[in-house]
Amino acid sequence: MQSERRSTILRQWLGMAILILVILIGGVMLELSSDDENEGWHMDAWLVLGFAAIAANLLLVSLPRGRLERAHIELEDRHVIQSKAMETSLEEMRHGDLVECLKPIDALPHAMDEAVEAAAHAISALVQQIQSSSVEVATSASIVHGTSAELVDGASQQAAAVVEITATTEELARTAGQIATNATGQAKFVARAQEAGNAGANALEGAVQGVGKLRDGIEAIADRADILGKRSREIYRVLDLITEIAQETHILALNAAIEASAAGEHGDRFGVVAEEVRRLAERSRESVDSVRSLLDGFSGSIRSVVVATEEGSKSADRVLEQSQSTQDAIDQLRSALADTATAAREISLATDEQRTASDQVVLTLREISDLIQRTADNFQQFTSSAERLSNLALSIQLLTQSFRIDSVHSLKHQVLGWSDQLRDSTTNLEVIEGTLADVVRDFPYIELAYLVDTSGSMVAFEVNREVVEDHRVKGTVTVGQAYADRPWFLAVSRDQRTAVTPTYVSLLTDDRCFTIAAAVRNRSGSMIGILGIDVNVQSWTSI
Amino acid sequence: MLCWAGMRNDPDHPEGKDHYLLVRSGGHRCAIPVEAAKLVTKAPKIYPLNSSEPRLLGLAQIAGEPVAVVDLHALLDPEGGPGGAHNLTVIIRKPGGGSSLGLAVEEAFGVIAVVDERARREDDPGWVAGRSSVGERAIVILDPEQLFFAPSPG
Repeated sequence: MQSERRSTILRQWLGMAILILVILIGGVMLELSSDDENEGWHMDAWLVLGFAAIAANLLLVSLPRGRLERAHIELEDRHVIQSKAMETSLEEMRHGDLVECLKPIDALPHAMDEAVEAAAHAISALVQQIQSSSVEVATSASIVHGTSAELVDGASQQAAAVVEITATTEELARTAGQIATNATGQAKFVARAQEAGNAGANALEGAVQGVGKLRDGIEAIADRADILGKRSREIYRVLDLITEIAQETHILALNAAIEASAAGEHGDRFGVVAEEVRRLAERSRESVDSVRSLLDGFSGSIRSVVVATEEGSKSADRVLEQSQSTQDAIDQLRSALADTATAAREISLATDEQRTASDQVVLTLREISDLIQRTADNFQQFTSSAERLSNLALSIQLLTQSFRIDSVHSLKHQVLGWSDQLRDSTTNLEVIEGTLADVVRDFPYIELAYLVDTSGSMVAFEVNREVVEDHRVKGTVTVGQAYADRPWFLAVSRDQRTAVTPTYVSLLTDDRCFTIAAAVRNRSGSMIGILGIDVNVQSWTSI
Repeated sequence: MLCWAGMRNDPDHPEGKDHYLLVRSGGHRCAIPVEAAKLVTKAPKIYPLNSSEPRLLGLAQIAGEPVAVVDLHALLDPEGGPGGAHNLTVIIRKPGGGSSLGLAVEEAFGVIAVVDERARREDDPGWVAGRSSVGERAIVILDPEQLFFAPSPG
């Protein structure tokens, strides 16, 4: 092609050069004919050259030009055909039907056809890659969304826990302050108790000393009473001696009286003396008895004194023992009070430190609470970002669904396949319903599959009972219901192509869904109805 | 009525009356004629005899001689059991000289003179010479001679 074009240009230049050469030769001939007589020869030569040049021009320039123009026209016709084919193919590509793009186009040159097919393959692969990536992005976004939502909940729970801990710690700090105050008061009270204990101990020590002196006095009395007892026993011995002497005197007086009586009148005076002696002995004995009686009383008193002193000594010992026990108890009490005072001071100091530490903990907890709140806000933003990312992935998914590729994941391709199944059975309602039931059963993410006629009236539908509750169906979807104003119906009717709607809230499930609608054509290619598929986004993305 | 011998020069008490040594054994008071009384001594060591006579306490050595000692209370109240303590022993002699007898008594008051008539009961033993009183207390007047022959109650 390139060499032919260069040949054509060379011939054009050759024609022009022959003409210029003939003109220049003619000019030179004319110049030579004016000077000499060879003018006729020159003219003839010039004419010959002119005719030769014309012939050469015809042979070398005009004839190839005509052939070239005819070839050019033919080429333009082929170009128009190829452009038309290319336009059709690009139009299919523009509407995302990469399956049609992959079909071979006879009108295009083989290389161009291969280029288009390669481009369609590349775009199809790209769409599939985008689909896969968007699925992964959606999955990851869903995981991130779930994780971040859990983190938000965790952060909220942490914040609540921190608030509770803060309140508890504040209460602990207040309690610590109260304990410190109580401990201080207790320390003062214990100090007063210690003073009272010291005073009591001193008083008890004085009492013990007094009781000791009293016991010493009692022991001195007991010693004196013992001495008195000894003296009394000595007196008793003396009294016994006196009694014995009196008794002997009494016997002696009796015998003297007997002798005096036996002496008769001579013994009268002696008898009187003997009687006096006997009376003296009697009086002595009576006196001794009196003294003995008094001494008995005295001895009894002494014994009572001894008993009393012994009892007093025992009582003093008991008092001393009890006092010693009391003193020990007071000492223990003082020791315990001292320990208590020390413990109270330590408690006061410790609780002061605890209160200070609690205040610091409260400050730290408040900072943690703020940090957790900020973290929760960040997680919330993270959740929102994940949600936006998920929506973006869904949008990309929907965008990729605007392409029809030869894949089970291409809803457009599936819908067109199902519409082809309905092509020959639009008059058989049972076949239509069976086909729709198969579609809903095999693809659980489909909420509703339905067929409307070209006027937009519902012909048949099938509901996925696993997704849609029965009471939702009644009054929402009915045969004969008009769908002519729906965007998918308008788009398909207008463009005669498969349409994908943006997501919207389903009336059947309150979930987000979108609709894919495709024209159902007869054998002649005329549209006889529209197949609509409502896809539940949640089920679809989970799959 | 009896009065103390030291009072016999009292005009209310005529002379010539008998004098007695007044003793007590248990609850009984007895008057022993002073001429029969030989000696009043503290209770000597008595050596019991293997005798069936319960009133005979035993033998004692008085001034180197063995003397039988009789429980006066047992004589006066043979059914009343043992009497009081035997603090003193009154040695009486048998009238007319000869043997002596010891009377174990609890107490000896002195020599008294009997003023009232001697009253003797019919059932009194032979060694009871009569009964009298000192003040409001009744006394038994002993007959020393009969004491030496006092039969056994059994």
